[in-house]
Formats: sequence, C-alpha cells, structure tokens
Amino acid sequence: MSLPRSIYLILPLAIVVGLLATGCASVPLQKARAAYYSGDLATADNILEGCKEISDKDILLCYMEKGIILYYQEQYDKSAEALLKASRFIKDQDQISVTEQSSAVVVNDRVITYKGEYSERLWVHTFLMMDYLMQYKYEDALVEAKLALEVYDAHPGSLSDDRFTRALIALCYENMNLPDDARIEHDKLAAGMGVDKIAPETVAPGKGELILFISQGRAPIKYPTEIVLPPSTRISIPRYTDEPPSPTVTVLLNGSAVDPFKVSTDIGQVDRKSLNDRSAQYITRQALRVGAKEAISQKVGEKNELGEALVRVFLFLLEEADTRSWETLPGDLTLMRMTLAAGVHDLEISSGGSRPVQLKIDIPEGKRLYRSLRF
Amino acid sequence: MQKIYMRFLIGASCLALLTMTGCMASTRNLNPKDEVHYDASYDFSDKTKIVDGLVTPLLAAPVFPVQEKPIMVLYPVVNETTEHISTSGITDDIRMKLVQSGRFRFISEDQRANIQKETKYQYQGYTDPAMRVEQGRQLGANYIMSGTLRSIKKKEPKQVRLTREERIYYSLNLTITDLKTSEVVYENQVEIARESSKPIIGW
Repeated sequence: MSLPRSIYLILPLAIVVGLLATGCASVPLQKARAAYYSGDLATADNILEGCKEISDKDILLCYMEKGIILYYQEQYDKSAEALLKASRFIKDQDQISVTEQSSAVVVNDRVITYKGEYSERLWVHTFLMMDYLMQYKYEDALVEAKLALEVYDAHPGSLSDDRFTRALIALCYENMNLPDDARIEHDKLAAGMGVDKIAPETVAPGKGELILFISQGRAPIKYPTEIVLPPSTRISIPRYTDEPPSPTVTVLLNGSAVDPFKVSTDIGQVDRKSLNDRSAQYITRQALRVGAKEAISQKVGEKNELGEALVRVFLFLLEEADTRSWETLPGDLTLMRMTLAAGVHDLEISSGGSRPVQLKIDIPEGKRLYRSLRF
Repeated sequence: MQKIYMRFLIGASCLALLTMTGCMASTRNLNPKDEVHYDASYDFSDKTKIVDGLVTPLLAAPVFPVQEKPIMVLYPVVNETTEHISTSGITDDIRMKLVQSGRFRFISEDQRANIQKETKYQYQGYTDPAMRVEQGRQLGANYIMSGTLRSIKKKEPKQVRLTREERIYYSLNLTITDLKTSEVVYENQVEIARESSKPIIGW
C-alpha cells in the first residue's frame, strides 16, 4: 500500500497553515493581556499600538482590549476612539460570510472573523458611556446609551442579568434632562432587580452628586471542553471559566460607614448566558463539521487506508474550540451614586482584602462628579 | 500546443489586470451638492438639506422684518440621535447663511471664553492703553436660536430573508426664543426619512 507523494507535502503544509491561521495570530493579544494583568498598562498599550500585528479575524479583540487598557490608564478620549472602532467593526461585520462559514465547516470556528459575544457587544457601549461620562460629554454618552438599548432589544434574554448598563443608560438620560426616559429605564431596572421602584435621590440646593464606576476582579475566559468519539471525531466546545464572586464594596464617608445607592453586574454571568444562547449556532456548525470531516476521511479511505488514517489525524488535530474572548474585562461593574453636600469630602472605598482607595473629592454644587476605581 | 499556451497566457494576463485594477486606490472629487448616501445613516448630504430646509423659510418669515436686523445668539444643536454627529457643522452653516443674508446679526457664544481671555490680557499692562478694547460694549442678543436633532431607527423584525432593511427618520427642530419675553417666536422643522438594505449573506 503506497500513498500518493503529494500527500506528504500537502498534509504538513495544511497543518502549519491551519495552526498559523488559528493560533499564532493572537500572540500580541496574549502578550498585551499578560502585561495588563501584571500591572504594566503602558506596555500592554504599546504592544497593541495601531493593532497592526493583529490578524483581521481578531482585530475586534484588539480594539476592545485596547479600549479597556486605555480606560484604566485614564485616557478616556483614546479609549473611546478604540472602542468606537470596535463598535463600527461590529456593525460592518453584521453579515454572514460564505467563504468563512465554508472554511469553518472543514477547519474550525477560529477561521471566522470574531464578531464578539452578544454581551461583549453591549460592554463596548457600556465602556464608551463611561469614557464619555468621565469626560463630561453627555451628548456622546447618550448616543452610546441608545446604542446599548439597541443591543438589549436584539438580545433581551442573553443580557437580562445586566443591571449596571441599564443604570448607566438612565444616568445618561438624566444628564440630558430627559427624566421620562430615565424613569422608564429605572422602572425596567427595578423590574429586573425585583424591587418596587428605583428613584435616585434628587440633587437639592447646596448639594452635588458623586458617581463612582467601580471595577472588581477579572472576567472569566473561555476554555475548550473536549469530547472524543470513535473512530476519530473530536468535538471541542467553548465554555467560560467559573470565577469566584467579587467581594462587596464598602464606603466610609468622612470616617463613617455609608450605604449609598448601588447597582452591580456580574460580567461573567452575562457572558455565560450570552454564550449559551449562541450555542445552537456553534453546535450546528460543529455537527456539519463532524459530517464533513467524516466524509473527507472516508473518501480518502476508498483509495488508500494509510491516507485515511493520516487525514483523520490531521482533521482531529485541526478541531479546536473558538475560545476567543474579551479578556481584560473586569469581573464586576458597580455603579454607586451619592448625593453629598457641596464641598470637600474624604472617602475610603474597600473591596475585600484589596488595599482601600482613599479619595479626597470636591463636590460641585448642583453638578455631578465622576470617578472610576479599579480593584 | 503553442495555441493553448498563448490562450492560457492571455487569460492569465486579463485576470491579473482585472485584479490589479480592482485593487488600485482611486480618488475623485465630488460635488458637495450631489446627494450621495452609502447607507441610511447621517452624512454631509443631509447636513446641506437640513441647513437649506431651515434657512430658506426663516429668511422669508414675517416675524423678523427686513429692516430690523435682530441680534441672535446661536446655541449648539443638541444631538439626541443614535449617531455621533458633530452638530457644530449644522450651527456653523446656519449662522453663515443667515449672516451672509444680511438680515440677522449674531453674537459669538462659542468665542466668549476666548474674548474674555483676550480682553483680560489687554488689561494686564502689555497692550497700549489707547488700543485696549473698551469693556462693557458687547452687543446683547434679542433672541436665542436653538435646536434638537433627533432620530428614530427601525429595523425589520427577525424573519427568514436575504437582506436586512433599516429605516431612519431624522428631524431637526429649530426654535427662536425672545430673550426679553421668553416667547417662542419662531419654530420650524426639517425631516429626512431614509431606507437602506444590506445583504445578510456576503462573500
């Protein structure tokens, strides 16, 4: 039994191309994430400079990771720039590519351009809202609030556990003096939280409002769940890791404990629900791929048994779950609102065992002051 | 054999030429007055349409007699759409057309901080006292001109189809308020509605 000579050349070449297409393209992303989590945000930002080294299939991840890195560097204008690119990319990619889908049926889901989980599409607008609010650009924040509402409308079930973005949307309406729209969002928020009513305290004369955006922990990442069936079927499905819940945030105002209005979202919980709701999509593709790979193997096996074995090994190795995700996201987002007397105040904000953050803030009368914290 | 080879060469050359011309970068001038839309979202053609649609009726409005030349202050148009639209382009064009008509006078709201800075500098001892701008001589506005740009977007409901259709409706409301009496003396609106479709399946 002999193999056609070409197979010795084609198979290794195909394996290399397959691996290059699916794995190596994300090396700068991995480096940037490692730098970010080691606390070196400037290096993380430099690695992703211009997103030039990132393949087109992963470019959305680059924009999103860059947006977060710049946000936590307090470069809100540049963060918004990166996230706007992400937002535009998501809009432009709202199409099914025949070539990509066909390739995915033979290779794996990583050959498809990453378009973001439903939840990630929402977080783009969430962080854009925060970017604009931190710059007091209320009109731009409202634009993002409305776009976030469109994402909510498109995927209501997947995003039903998100509270933070909804509270942020209501705040954007309040800033633009649109109280009816703010009330509608607060009513939806109250329904989601199972409470009767949510009505933030109105700012009385001589007072101002402090708005805190608190990020805690890190969002879960995807990992592959492998199922192997005889003779050579490998099914690889993405799952999100389980992360422990973030500790409760406590606040000391001028030395005394206070319990301000706060709304939190467990990012991982929403991400997991989004992935589950999309499962029909990738399981269908997986089923088609299993069929296609089996057909290819059997076709080769009709002429050459050794060839079939090699093809089966190759196709087995090619199977890989699409574990791409936005990895620099925090684990939890909390919106805190405090109406305070105009003037200087001392705040101490704590989260579990992390070092407390001391803030000296000067509340302007009749206005809102925004601060962002990361634990 | 040579014939086949020649055919192949010609075919390959044609293909290469087509590929090259398709990939070549090109630039051409457009007439700003031509209506060009790539999708349903706001673009420069809309700005021209909105400005013309608001300025022309305002110039003919009997509220402001020709001889009066009222002094206006124009506040930025509030953007309540779902797009990051620079509304200063709209206000600048409205002001330009009204100033060019000679029917209205404007005071510069967006230059107030700069005017204050420059005046303050002149009184810090660096400027010839005879050439200093006399303070307290600025014009007072008779009217406030303001506006809001809104949009309503509608997408087709989820169903089996090959194209995704989107409808967007834009409206810009222009309001002129008498500063002395708070009376809204003039109001007008320009509307634009557009539909676009995009294939769901592409290459």
